[in-house]
Amino acid sequence: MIELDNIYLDVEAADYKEVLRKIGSILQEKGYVKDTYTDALMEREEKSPTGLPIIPRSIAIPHTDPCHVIKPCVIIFQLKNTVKFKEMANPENYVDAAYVFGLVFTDGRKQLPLLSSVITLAQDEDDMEKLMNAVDKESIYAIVKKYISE
Amino acid sequence: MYKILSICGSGIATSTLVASRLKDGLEEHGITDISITEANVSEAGGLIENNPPDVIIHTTSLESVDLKGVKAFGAMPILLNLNAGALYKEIADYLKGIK
Repeated sequence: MIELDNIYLDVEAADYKEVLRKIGSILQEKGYVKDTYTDALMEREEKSPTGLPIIPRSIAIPHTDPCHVIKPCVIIFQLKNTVKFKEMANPENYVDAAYVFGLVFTDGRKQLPLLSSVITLAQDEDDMEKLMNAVDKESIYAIVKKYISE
Repeated sequence: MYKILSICGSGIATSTLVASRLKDGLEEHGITDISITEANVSEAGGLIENNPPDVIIHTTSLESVDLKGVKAFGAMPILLNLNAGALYKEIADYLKGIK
């Protein structure tokens, strides 16, 4: 589920909608999702936002219904500048997301440890700082892999 | 048997994770006979109407959902593992109080 090629460094985006559009177009081009994915992802983010308030670095975990997914993966964006996402369950609040973990799921039960691992990683201050300072995909991959056994 | 409905935006990621953790959390309070259903926010209204749960937990805003008086607990403490123990106890106490 975690592939070096699905890690993107220094992604620039003006707002969360641009992040979601970038995720959608990459995933569609790579054959992970159907052409309905981007719209579904954006609609879902409006209805049920995915920003997670975590100290000191917040993240977002955008995802949408499995019917738009062809094969599961996780797409990771290290953002050049933080991007405001609405907060999950409290959409009147915003979080400044430093990293985005796009969860491309087909089966919630099978992929549940993955979500749990992403949150555990985001809550580890030392490893999140390493992710913030990472300048190559390999070091991000190595840190993320520590949390995720497949 | 307690019926719990876990609601998130897509019914696949966070609702499944919090459901699984809540099951373990309630066991610690002696509640083992539970059935948890995961749903997305658009399915939730129909499920509540047709098969009313004893409790709802949610990681998404339920503004658009008619809860029919069912008690709902926000599940972000469970998702983020922040003070989740207190919430498990609160839900367990609530369940024990209703039957």
